[in-house]
Amino acid sequence: MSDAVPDSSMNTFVELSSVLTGYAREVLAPPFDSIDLKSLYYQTAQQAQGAVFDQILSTFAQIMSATPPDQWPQEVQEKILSDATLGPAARQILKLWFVGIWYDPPDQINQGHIVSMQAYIGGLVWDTIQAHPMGDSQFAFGYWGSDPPPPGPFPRFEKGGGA
Amino acid sequence: MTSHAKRLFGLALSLLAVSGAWAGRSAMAALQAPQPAPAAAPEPAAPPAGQTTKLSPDIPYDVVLTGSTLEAAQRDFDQFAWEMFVALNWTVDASGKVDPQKVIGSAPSGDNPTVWETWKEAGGIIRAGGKPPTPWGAPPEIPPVCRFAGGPSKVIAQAGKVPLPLLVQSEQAFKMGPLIDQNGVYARYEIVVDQPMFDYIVANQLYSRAGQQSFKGQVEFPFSDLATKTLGSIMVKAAWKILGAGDDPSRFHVSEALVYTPASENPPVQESCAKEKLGLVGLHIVARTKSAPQWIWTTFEQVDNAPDYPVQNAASHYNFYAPGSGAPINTVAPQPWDPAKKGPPTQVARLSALTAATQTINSQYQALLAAVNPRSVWQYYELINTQWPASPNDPRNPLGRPTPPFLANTTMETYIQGALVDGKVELVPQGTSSCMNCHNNATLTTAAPSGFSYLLSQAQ
Repeated sequence: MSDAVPDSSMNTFVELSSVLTGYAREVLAPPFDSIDLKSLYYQTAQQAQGAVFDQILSTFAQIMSATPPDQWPQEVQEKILSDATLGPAARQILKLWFVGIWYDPPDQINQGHIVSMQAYIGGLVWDTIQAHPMGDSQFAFGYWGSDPPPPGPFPRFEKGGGA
Repeated sequence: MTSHAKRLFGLALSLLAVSGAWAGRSAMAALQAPQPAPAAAPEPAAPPAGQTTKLSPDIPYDVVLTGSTLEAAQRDFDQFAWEMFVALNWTVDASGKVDPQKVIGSAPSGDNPTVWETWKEAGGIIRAGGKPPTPWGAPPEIPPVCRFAGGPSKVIAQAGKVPLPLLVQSEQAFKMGPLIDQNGVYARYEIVVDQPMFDYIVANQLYSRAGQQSFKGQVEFPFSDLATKTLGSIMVKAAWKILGAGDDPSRFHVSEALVYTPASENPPVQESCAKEKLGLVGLHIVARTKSAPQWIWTTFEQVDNAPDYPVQNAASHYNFYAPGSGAPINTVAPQPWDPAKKGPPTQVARLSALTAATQTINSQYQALLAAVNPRSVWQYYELINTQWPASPNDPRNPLGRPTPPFLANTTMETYIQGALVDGKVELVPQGTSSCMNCHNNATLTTAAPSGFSYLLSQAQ
């Protein structure tokens, strides 16, 4: 699937997603990525949003080329999230990463669909709340009898790669 | 985190608040053609840079990554898998020692006794009443009904992988049932472990319920370490078919064994035992290494097992598929099951075809094996895939992100290869076979995690 998307466009999409979600790109697009949610999400957004998606990416590409990484969140806030057209579309993408659901129209919470079984499992929300989806767990049987792992960091910001 | 970052993060949370082959067969067909001399064997493609494709009796300590991409890493794990397959199937002498000079498959018959068949069988570890295991190297205990004069010492007692009293020593959850070959005969199974794993179980008395109850800490089977050249834990699961009409023994690793069927009250099955020639049809090799604490899961099959789904251009003979039968594929035989009697053949198809990369490495090794001896039985085995942890040391994901997400051997995970929905294959998390996901749920009899091994849950 990733073959269909030019590397530069995918890189822009992943960096933008990192700013939107707070997760480091290594989390969103790990080096050994057999699930490849990034490509699924890219194509889901592209097919649904069309020109608006292209505009989001081109806007963020300009941000990337014109400003250092620590200013990207501020720039995204001002030029994408605050935009009447781009903002709702960007929030669709953000929610897709967190819960694996494509909400359409963007600001409706009762109209959406889980884009894939792996998206349901791979939603960032589970990591954020130190939990796992119903019916699937990365923890060993009986994990609930032990202390949970350390609170979920948001690597993008911890590494200083973001704001 | 800056105030702005916190604002963005808050925004994210507030928003949340409201709102898943046949090219390799062609290579095999070339291999199966009469070959006048080893020199006529197909020329293997050159291995990737950093890798050496060769036949060696040395068990690999760990995977050596030669690239940074998923494709390169998978190729490295597949290389590890083949090195493991060759080393564990290397020739051993009468005393069970590896003979480095007798290359795998070099005997006139093309077959040879193997390393892993000298390892400790499950029945000698988990014994009735929680008795301590028999010593390493001790012959297997032979049920009285199997004590034929001059009979072989190998006993195969498993008739399946399901947790049913009849299908003994099962350790696989999920929807399972017996696998029945084209002669109507039940496939048989065995599990063995290497000495480091065996020694760990014995030292910690994990072979019994009482020992497990007194065990403190976490089960941490010793791992292989490339740096120190130390071999760790390796498990092997083997699937066998009893060779009969239509089978060509020259295409199988063959073992003569005592096939034991224990008695059962419901359904009524009489205890029996027979001396049979068994052909190896499936082989799981699972190794715990320093780089993969979640183990590396690799699986091989005999090339004649089953066609790929959807079935096109079927060959004339398979171990577990009848061309033109019309029987539903991958469907469990109706109960009652009785391994001592004939049953309806299982119609098996492979739902996930081998990748092109795996077919390539298969062709390379098959050619090497054929070059050693055109009669080598080992050229008729193929790697299906290798599953490994992509994030082995992430405390927030101790399962390690199984890669690839799914893995099934048609002889051992026959019925959980995937779901057929309107004729299309769907690979469903927690529903489709994934070695790591499944074994992550393995426990001791105390319900504490058992280090990915179901064997210990059978302790008495």
